[in-house]
Amino acid sequence: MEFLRSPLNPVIAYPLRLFDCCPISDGAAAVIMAAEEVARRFTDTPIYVRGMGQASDTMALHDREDLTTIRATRLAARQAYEMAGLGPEDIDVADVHDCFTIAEVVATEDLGFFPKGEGGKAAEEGRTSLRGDKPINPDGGLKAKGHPVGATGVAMAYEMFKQLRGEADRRQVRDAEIGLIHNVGASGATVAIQIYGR
Amino acid sequence: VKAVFTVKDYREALEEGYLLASKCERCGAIHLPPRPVCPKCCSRKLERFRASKRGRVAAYAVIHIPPSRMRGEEPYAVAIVELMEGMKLSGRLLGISTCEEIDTGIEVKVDFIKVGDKTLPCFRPLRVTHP
Repeated sequence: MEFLRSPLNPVIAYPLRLFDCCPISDGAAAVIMAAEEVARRFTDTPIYVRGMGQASDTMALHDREDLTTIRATRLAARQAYEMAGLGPEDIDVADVHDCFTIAEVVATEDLGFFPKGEGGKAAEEGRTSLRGDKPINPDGGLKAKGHPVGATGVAMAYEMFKQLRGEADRRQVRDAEIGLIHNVGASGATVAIQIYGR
Repeated sequence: VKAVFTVKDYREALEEGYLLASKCERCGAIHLPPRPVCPKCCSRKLERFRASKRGRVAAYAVIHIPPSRMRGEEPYAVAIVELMEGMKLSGRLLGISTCEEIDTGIEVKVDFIKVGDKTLPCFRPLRVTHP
């Protein structure tokens, strides 16, 4: 990990270095959405949307109440958890919008996976790794997979579809039954969250 | 109380060297730039005032890889500053180019810079901290 502090990983905007920032890249993703009885004609193992939420906040960062929270994430998460009748403790795997290293930390706290201020520590301890107790971004997330802005959210839906059907190969989270995806626009001025189940 | 606020009013105030703000007469919320309608309680009874030019750094970054229109200026600092009245504002933090010179909580004063034909608010540290 020495290279992370070396000139090979130059500072972009202190304290963020090159590998703290996602690459804006090309990419495409697609989903087929259908009513339950229609979906059954295509597959025996559809994935169900159990809950969803969407919320917005002021565009200007300096007008936000708290600079260490994305309020739209908290509001959207509350809606999604309520609709699904589930809580953060029920989520087996999640794809969160890690456009920057700190964005994942803030997201995992705002989604209720870890207490405020402990998201970074949880990642350091490996709790968010593939074999941790709260696996985050098994597909590598925006930072490792790339961020083809418009396709990113749909790619998250694709990843959860694979995870919940047990088809994620070497990045499979064991016994994943409930998955959450979290997508952010305009530095948190808008957030969309969906919870999927088998 | 002026009924309609335009961006022009705010820009003219910047050119004259002050920050135009508004305060809601009903709920007491303050806004920068000023608003015609209070975003907290929807009241239209707002009073305008000149904001203080003192504040503290609430958050900052030192930009090493700038967007194209800022090329050549790097490294430079940007900050979100909380003014004495409590509202926050973003801008360049002038006179600082390394992370060692800056921290949250340091006192700054509001200044103004010309960028093209626009006058923008910016900040200057009251005293430069040395590592």
